Amino acid sequence: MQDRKQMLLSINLKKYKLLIMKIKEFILLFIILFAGCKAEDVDFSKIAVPRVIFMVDSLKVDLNSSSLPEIVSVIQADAGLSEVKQYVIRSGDAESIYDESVTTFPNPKSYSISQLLPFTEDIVGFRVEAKDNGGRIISATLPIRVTALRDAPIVTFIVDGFDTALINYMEGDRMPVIKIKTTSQEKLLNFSVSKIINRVETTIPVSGADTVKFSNQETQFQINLSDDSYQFVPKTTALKVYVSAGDPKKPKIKVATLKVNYTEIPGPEVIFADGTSKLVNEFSAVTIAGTVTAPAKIKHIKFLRKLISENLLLSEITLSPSQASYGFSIPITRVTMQDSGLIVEATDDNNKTTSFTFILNINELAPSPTILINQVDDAFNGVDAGQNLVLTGEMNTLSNFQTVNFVTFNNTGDKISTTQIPFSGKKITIDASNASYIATKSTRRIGVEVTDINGKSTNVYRDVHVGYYYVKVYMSLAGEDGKTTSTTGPLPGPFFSAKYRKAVSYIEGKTMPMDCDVAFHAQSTYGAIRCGNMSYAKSSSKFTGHTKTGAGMDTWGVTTNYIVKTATGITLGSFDGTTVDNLTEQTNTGTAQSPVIAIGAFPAALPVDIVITYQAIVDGLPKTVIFAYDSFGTLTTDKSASTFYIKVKMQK
Amino acid sequence: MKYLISISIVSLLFLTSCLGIQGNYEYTPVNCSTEVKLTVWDFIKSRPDAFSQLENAIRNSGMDTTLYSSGSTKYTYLLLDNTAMSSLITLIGNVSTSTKSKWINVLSYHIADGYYHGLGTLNFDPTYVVTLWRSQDAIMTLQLESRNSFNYSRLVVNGLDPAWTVLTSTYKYVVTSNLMCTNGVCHVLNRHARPQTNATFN
Repeated sequence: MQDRKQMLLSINLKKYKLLIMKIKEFILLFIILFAGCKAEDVDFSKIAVPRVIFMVDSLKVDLNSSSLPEIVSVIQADAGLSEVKQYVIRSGDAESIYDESVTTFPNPKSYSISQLLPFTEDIVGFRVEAKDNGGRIISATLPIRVTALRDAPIVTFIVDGFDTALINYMEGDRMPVIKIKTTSQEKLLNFSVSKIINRVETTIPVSGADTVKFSNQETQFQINLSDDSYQFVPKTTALKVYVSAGDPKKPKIKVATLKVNYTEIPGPEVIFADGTSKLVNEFSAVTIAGTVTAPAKIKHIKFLRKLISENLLLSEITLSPSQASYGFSIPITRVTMQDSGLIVEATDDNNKTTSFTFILNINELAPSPTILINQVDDAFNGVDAGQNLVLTGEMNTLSNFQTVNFVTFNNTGDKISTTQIPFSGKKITIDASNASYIATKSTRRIGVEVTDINGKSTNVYRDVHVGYYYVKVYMSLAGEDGKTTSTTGPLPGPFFSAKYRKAVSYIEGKTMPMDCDVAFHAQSTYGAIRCGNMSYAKSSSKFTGHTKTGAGMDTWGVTTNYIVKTATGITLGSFDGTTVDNLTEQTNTGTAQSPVIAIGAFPAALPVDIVITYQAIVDGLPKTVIFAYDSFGTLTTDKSASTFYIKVKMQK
Repeated sequence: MKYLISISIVSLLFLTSCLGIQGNYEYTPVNCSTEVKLTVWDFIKSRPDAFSQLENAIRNSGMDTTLYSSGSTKYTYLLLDNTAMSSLITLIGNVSTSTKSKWINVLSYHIADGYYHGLGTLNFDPTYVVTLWRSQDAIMTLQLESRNSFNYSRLVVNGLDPAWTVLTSTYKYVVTSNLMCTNGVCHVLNRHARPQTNATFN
């Protein structure tokens, strides 16, 4: 039994020892385990301390500059950064933290800063403080030198040696010596002076230039306006100076004003004794009196008779010495309907000239003679050489006649004969006995010229065309295909007939194709007018397809085919003076032409300097015709229906 | 015994987490290596086809060549190839007594104090760097371009020129980047970097 107990005790003791041993093993294993997991110690002494570097050793900041520099700094920390702080240092060692401290870093080993500080002139430095993961703090300071804002330039006005901002000046006084001086802390850029007259500012050139530009670091400048002969003028209120200095991109500008109190002396004044106007009878004499006064004294006066057409100098006077007042009395003999007043021009010692007019209202007593001619304007168009040209009618006057003449003119405009018509009383009858003339080929105009005893004239003339007919024809361009206005209507038409001396429309022309000579059409998008003979017209679609009326030239049948061409020796300038001989001298053979007679966007189509000629067959006889473009008529909504005029001379 | 085996397995699992820290956190391409086992100066001299004019400019301008060969500080080098140098010579003129200081400024501007590359230290936001040209105008930023169509080096110096918003090879600027020399990282440019302030290199 005791052995059994001993044996059990021995077994329990073994279990106990085994348990103790297992516990020891566990403890040992855990010790080994945790010993392996212990954090590795970092020896920061072997890692470089953080490094703060700036892009420059010191920063220069000029507040006057247009751009201010950035501060760039890089912090390098091999041990990794934990915090970066920035400080702004101001004069007096005042330091304040700038921006928030940085504690998170994308790259813990390197961090960069870029700051554009709101620089003020008391900033003296920028400090960066960096702390690494070893707790080591490194700081670096960037010294900053700030150049303070400088003042704008100073402008001083020196008038007759004294600084001032105001000038009192009376017209006529000596012009003061005005010097303008400017000084600046920085280099000058531009300088200009202007004057203000009646609220309008204009530049005063300095040495010939509107603006003085500086390029040599000048910091002061002075001008003397007398050097440029500057003189105040009435209504001057100020001189202004503009000066700029410093950085061209951010200049400091000073505008200074010299106020001018300009006292203007009034110019001469005229007071007429009879007020400002007077009613006088025609042919009477009148005397106009008055007084001229001037604060600056009068030195010269002119008196002019004011006519409708011109001013006639009656008299002038120079006063020496000049006078404060001058009385005048100017007679005007025999005023006529041409008179309208008296002008008095006075000049004072300041060379100020004023002008006053006394108005004459003329009461007409005797009207001009009247002439009544029985012959119409066109009465002598196409007369024959040798034909007796007679004017009939009567002339009347209220004031008796002075001269009465029958006159004739030639083709160049010269008066070739003057025949006095006998008269007595106030009425004259004209007829073959006193107003007739045998026409020659060069006769161009006849008429009567009458003057009464008051010198009033009346003239009446009649044009004469010897051996040819003259006509101004109203044409239409209503000839283009497809145009709604291409109907006869009131429009004259694009064809000319010498036989009938008129324009002919499509419908009318179709009924008498052998009496149509020339056709006109627009071209160059209504920028020209061209003409040609009827064969030319028939070959052009502008004329043939005139479907609106069904009278297009393709339906006309046989037409004329005249040789239309530019006349030799006749131009626009000589057209009116041509005689029938000039017409018959034209050679109407050769090749037909289709010339442009007017050029210019409608309605500003101007004549080309050519005259067209052709020989028409009228009633079986050849007749030389010349014509030229005269003027544009009417621009219609549909430009193809616009009108124009030609002037034509046709052999009788 | 069963306990002993269980404890051993658990312990081994724990112990695996106690292995040494990964040697290189940054991603290292496996297909090709950008590692250049030369100093930057030796690299420049080894490639006269690309850098002969740069080498001449460095030598003739009086630039301190130890900046390119010393290993005491790792810089970031923007190496100008012969194309960039030709246009720069047109702009500044050949290295001469009158242009030496300007050339030194240009070359210094193309060395950044720090180690910047596209394999971890740069991102898509501009990073301001400090160059060796000690001037207030020597502001420079480096960044990576985020667009896939940027089918050449994604390194961007001083931001994208507005004209480059359409990305074509015409505007290729940084031709090769992230060349890891023994004393710094190199990026090759075919046009010189222009200061953001538009300053000249006086």
